[in-house]
Amino acid sequence: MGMHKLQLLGVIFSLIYLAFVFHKLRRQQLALGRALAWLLSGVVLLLLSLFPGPVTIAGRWAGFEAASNALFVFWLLIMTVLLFVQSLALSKHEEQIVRLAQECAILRAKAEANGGA
Amino acid sequence: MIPAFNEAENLPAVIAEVREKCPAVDFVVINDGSTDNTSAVARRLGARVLDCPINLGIGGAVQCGIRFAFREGYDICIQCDGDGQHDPRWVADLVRPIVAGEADMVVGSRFLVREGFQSTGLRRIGIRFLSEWIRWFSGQRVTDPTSGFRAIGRSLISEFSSRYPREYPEPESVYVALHRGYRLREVHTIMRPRRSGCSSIQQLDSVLYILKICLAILADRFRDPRRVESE
Repeated sequence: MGMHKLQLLGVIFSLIYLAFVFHKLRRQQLALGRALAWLLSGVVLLLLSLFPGPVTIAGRWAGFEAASNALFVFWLLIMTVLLFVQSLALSKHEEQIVRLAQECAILRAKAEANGGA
Repeated sequence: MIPAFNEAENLPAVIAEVREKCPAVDFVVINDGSTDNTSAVARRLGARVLDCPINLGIGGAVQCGIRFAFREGYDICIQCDGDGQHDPRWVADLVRPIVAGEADMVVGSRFLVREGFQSTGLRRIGIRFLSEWIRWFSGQRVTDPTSGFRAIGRSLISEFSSRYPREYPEPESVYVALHRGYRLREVHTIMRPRRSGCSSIQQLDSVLYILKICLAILADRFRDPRRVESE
């Protein structure tokens, strides 16, 4: 059986994507904990491009006209979740940065009051 | 506490006035990562300064002062903006209900008696709307929820030092205090237009801004009160 053009593109894209994530990971510009989700999603994309069977079946069951549409929606969902997780992490970091800055200011004032700094 | 972001021009007069009218009050300037020499000016005048290493926004800066008050064991924390809008002669009125044990938070309102600087027309309508919104959710009428001239007692110093709203801190903190069952009272104050520079809540006249505050208050309404991080 031959490979669809779309499938081929999917494989190429997911390989580039994985290589890029891996590259960033190697150069320590990406924390392993955060890279995991991206690596995993890359692997899933690669597998689905190589073996579109499950998506085709699941897509037909859900009423999608083409497997590519099902994949598209599926992917959109994953990206939405990933983005949301990023927002959660960002909010937490904002909170932490504010706390650190406040502690900094308070400690500095205390040090000055003690004749230091 | 005097939160100040780029207020080097206004600070000397503000500090002098605080010293003159409230000689018994300890004060601290919170320099919210100013890009001018706010910190140096305040230090030269002998003020205690909390220097935030980055700009935290008014909510983060005010919380910094509240945490400082909490650590230093103060019973009352008064907020008076660094732009000269707030006349320290009203501080005694702000503090009195807390000392008397009648309130946990006292807000200086420019609308209880229509005197002095009343803000611009559109902004007033916005504040009015906010006030109705807060009344709808809390059952208490607060005429000037955006006022940054206020005082809180020890219980709220403790509460706010662990969590203080940062997006729209003035109206949100008013609502949060009411929502958690603290007693809030407004006292009459006369405000002045700021001396120079521009306000941190410039966009208050915009409908979008008001909507955002209302949304923030709505979110506060349903926020889980248990998730307060410990010190």
